[in-house]
Amino acid sequence: MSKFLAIGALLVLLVFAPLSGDAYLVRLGTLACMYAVMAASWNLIGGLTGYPSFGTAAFFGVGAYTSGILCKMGVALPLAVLGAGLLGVVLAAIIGFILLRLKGHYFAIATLAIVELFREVANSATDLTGGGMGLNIPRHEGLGVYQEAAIFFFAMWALLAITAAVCLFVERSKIGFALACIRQAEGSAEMIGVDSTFYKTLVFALSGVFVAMAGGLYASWVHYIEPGDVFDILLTIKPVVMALIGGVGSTVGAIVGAIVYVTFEEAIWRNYLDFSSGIIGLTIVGLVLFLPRGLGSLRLRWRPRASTP
Amino acid sequence: MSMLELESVSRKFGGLTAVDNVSTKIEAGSIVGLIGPNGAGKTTLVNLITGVIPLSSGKVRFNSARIDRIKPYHAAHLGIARTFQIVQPFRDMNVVDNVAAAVLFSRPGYSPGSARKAALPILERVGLSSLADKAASALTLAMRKRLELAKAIAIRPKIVFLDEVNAGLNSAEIEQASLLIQELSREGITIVLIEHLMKVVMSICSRVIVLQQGRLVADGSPDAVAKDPAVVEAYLGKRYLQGRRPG
Amino acid sequence: MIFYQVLVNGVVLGSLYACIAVGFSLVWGVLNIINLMHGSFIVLGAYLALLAYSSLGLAPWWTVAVAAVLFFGVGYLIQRFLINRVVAAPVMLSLTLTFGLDLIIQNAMIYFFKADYRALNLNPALGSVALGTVVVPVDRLIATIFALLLTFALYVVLRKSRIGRAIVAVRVDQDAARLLGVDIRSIYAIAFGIGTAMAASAGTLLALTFPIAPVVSYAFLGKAFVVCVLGGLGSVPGAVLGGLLLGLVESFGSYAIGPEFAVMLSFGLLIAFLIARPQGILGRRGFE
Repeated sequence: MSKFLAIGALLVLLVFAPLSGDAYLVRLGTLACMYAVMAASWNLIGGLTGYPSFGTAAFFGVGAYTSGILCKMGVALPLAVLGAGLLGVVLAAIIGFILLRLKGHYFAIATLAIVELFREVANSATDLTGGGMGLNIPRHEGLGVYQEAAIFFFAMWALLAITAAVCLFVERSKIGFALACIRQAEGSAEMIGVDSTFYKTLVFALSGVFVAMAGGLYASWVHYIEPGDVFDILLTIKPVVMALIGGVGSTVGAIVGAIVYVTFEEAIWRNYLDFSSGIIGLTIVGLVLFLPRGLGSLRLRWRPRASTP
Repeated sequence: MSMLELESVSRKFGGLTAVDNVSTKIEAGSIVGLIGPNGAGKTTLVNLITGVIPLSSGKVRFNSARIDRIKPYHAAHLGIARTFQIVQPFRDMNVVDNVAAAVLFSRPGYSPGSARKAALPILERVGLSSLADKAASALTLAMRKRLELAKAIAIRPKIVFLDEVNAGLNSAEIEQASLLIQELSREGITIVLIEHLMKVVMSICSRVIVLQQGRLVADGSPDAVAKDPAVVEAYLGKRYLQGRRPG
Repeated sequence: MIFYQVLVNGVVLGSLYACIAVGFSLVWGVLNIINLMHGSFIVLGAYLALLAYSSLGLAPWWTVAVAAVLFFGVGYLIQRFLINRVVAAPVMLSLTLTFGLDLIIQNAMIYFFKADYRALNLNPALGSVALGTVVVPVDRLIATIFALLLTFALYVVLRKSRIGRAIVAVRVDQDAARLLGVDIRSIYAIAFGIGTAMAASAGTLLALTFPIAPVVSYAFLGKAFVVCVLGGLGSVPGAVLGGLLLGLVESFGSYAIGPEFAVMLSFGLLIAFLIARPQGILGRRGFE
């Protein structure tokens, strides 16, 4: 119950962005929602199941191009985004079925290779995607700058709400139990009757669908995408860092981590542009070395030991 | 019709034949010892039966149904359980959840909550009730072995393969484990015991199968097997055997 | 015949790839760490070669020794104080750490060297040499020869020297090595240092044949991945085999279907190998 309350609180907090009337804050809020979707999704396969996936960028890019191409063909945005989600889930299921037999580093590299492969495909399929010259997605006529920003904020916010609900449901249900078993001792899980292939593929597909839809929204939001933008490894790494900040394995943590990170990165960007990537790198290093269990573990340092383990 | 039938089961890894043309039948209700020197192929055989690795050739039948190509989770649903030589508890979960997981995923109709309730009597049986809330990672080896056994029982198996349950235990703990195994057998569960300790094998097994270098070299009552020259040779070598031969 | 030209191109390219990847493979095989900084160290080596040539007139093949020594130290320190803390941690943690470190190095490179592409053009230019119908640029040829020598030197070190054999022992069976008195932490640091040294050395040689910019590091990293998966981890012969295979595939693929598809082909090959034979041609199962 408390998890739902926490998510609810976060969502309410985010809604304050558009209420401020400042288009910049609205855009920042939209970005935070987008990354929160990606972090929570990664957490399903990477955190709950323990399979280190680099595939987030692959789904994001596929979603972006699917929706972008559909919009160019005149399809309304909601349908285009749904189409993106559909393709995302189908691809994720297929890729997952093939790759989830790999473990550890090999799984990570395979998913990384998928991202690279998709990017090259997008680069080459010039007729469909515009190739290296990018894809222009038409703007919606008759909308003011602020109105457009607000619409995209609420769309991304709604996507986050749905994603969070699904992720929380997975965490607390029989599925989450199975994933925890798979993560901790896959051989043992199989031996007690867990069909690990089924659960892994299911959760991998789930980890792809919302990310693809976020990509789909992103494409229309920025009106121009290139293969290098949307099939960018950073789009995988950042959600992982966000999940790390909030504590890997927790949907709430992933969302909190996303908000914290986006705010932090924006602050760095505005003030230390030349050194922004270096500072982010330094932060990541510090996080991994000193707070691998997330910011939440800071609290634990101050509590006396309740019982000996 | 036997419960478990192996027909010319073989498994090769590249040039190495880990299991070589093993054929045997296991009847329901027995306690069978599976012994042999290190590297004889005992664990590999169990892995083949439970679907962890595929057969290179041969057939396996469980209650007349072919199970050569099943996956481990399916074996669990059919009632085939096994423990691992190196125990694999769900480390971050507590003892109740470990057993509840087994209940939840091996039988239909349970939720995480009801599975936890169903786990309690099983913990009672193996004597882990007092440790129900402890994290699995905090248990001693003997307790982890019991937990492993509890998980195996929780799937309501018809047959259990126990892989070196006694490794690392002291005599009192081994005694307790043996009593538990005999209790389970009385309840009708068929037990196959992979063991190194002859004392245990002799005292509780009604039949002993001996593997050496993947081949089945002896099969019979504990006494007969203990005197079988092939078995002595397997464990102690040809030269020892030659030294002991009369004349 | 064009076949021989494409073949030779492939072998030349493949040798360079092998040299790029061998350090990466060693670190992955011995420490079970994927060092995402590897590409950046290659580029740093290239920058060193550029600097040495423009300010001291030193040709890259002399700078190799400097690069090796300097970056061995850098790698050793980084492993000893940073990487060592995540050696036993989950995969994503170590990947994220090296990624973060790489971001810092990238930022530094862009700040000091700027993002634009630079090239090392020897003056006087060395031209090309013709072997029958096959034409090879001399600088590329020299780079290839040195790359192969470097790789061979590593092979000899691993086989014959005490440290080298300790490293191999740790790769094969860490627990046994520890029982024999090998200081694992020290070996890790040395192995990582060797990996970094090889990267930088390869970079100084590559300065002759590829344009240099911070962003190029990702391309090199990508090649290193593919070579390791194709050839198998932790062994020099594996890296050489994987490198040659990749070089030939790219060369023939480039010729047959065009250069963009050659890159796709290499990643497709990577995925295929991961599914069918993740340990590579020469590798053994076990390292995940």
